[in-house]
Amino acid sequence: MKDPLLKVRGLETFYGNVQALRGVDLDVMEGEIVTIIGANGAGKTTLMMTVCGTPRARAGQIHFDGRDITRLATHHIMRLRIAQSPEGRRIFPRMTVLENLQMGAILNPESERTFDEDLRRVFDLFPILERRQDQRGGTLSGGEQQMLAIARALMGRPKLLLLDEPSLGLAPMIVRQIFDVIRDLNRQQGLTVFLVEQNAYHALRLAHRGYVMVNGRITLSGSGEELLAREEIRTAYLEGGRH
Amino acid sequence: MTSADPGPVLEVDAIGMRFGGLVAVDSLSFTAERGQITALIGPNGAGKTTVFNCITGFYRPTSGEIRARHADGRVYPLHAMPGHRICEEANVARTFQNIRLFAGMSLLENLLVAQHNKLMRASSFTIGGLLGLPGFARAENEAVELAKHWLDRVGLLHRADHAAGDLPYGDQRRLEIARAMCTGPALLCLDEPAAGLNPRESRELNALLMSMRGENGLSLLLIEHDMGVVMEISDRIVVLDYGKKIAEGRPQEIRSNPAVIAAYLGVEDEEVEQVEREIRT
Repeated sequence: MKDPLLKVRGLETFYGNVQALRGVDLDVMEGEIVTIIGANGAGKTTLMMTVCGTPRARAGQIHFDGRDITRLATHHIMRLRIAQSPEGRRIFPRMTVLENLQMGAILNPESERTFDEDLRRVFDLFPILERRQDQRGGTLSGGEQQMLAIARALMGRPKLLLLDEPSLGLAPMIVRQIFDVIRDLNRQQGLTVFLVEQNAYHALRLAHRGYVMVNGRITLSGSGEELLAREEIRTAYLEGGRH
Repeated sequence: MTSADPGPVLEVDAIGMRFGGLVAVDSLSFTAERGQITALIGPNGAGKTTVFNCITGFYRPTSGEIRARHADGRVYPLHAMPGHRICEEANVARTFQNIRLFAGMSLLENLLVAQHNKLMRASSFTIGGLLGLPGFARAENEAVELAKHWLDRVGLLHRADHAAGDLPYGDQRRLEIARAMCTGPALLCLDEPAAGLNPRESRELNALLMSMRGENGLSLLLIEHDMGVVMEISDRIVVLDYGKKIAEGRPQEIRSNPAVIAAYLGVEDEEVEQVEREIRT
């Protein structure tokens, strides 16, 4: 069997004395969409950030593309073509929309050749960004900043795309578009995606596999369909809303 | 009972907001009724947060008027008031889409900062506080009690001494609501309170907001993309697109309004509904 693209074993992360991750094991195979669901404070974002080296793991290993990246500096991890669309957007507010997208393209060593094509693709995806390309990022509305954060991550043509709540602050129509786009990129280009999402219906329907995290531990895993059908998942994360 | 109806708590009257050549809000008018929940929805970039910024004094509208009306009939021209007076005198408070807590302060401290003006007066501007006058001690106790009350209401009392920045995203949003409530608002403006909450947490938020609605005459104005929240708790919905009002009405009317479906809701997600049916049978 092939090695996973991302392999996490026994991962433990702390904030000061507070333990946020308690021995997390997780695999993301190449070409897969994997999602992690769980309540606020379960440790989903911490897991994604630890993969990127901020904060550092106190114990355990993270392997990416056959290489141990547990102790690698964040900027070196990024160079291995892991792109993140982080929680809270974190765009560059004083740079223009176009400059933000150029920053995203840094990950891709061939971006000189592919930049125009990649730019076209994200503009087709989010037409509002094309209209606003010369505006400073900080003047965009919250939802537009979210689109910019996703577009910036895509510009690097990452091997692994980390999406932390891509639907946050977006209109229902745009949320559906974004999930459609992730599905298309995965099917057509084999993009590997690791997705944190509160919108568990959308996430589990999109993902090949899902993990459930409770208090820093993985408590369940399975195919998206299996998890959607489980009683405890329904009562804990799905009931009362489907948007 | 007062004899005269004091009218809506908020009147937005033909406001416009321009940034250079960009028209973010274009002669927009709507009202928020007293003791009710009014939702402001629309596509990303439609101008919703800009409207909030005009109401709460972060921006001064380029044209038009915004009036807050208290139950006793007093009227406050928000479009011409500085932000701190809008909060302190007109009793309009808000939360932020991009969370703006004091990250290094504890939860309790965040809620005490919200009561700073009240405490400053009670301390005779520090002197009474330094001398330990009983009036200040009483005011301080009351402020702590109010803070504890709201921490309890939003389910964060057990973390009162933690730093606000250590809270997960969804909890930070609830702390912002508690902080705004500690200013004693007549109108609370919430900018995407359900963002980052899972469906179960959104439902808990619904219960919280419904319990606050009408309590001491509180009115709520809400920006939100989670239709499970908007359709469930709103009395009225105002829909914006490109800075203009394209629809207004009760949730059932808005849900089936063709203009709103085209601009904002999109087609109903039949797939999801189907799965929902499947797993329920």
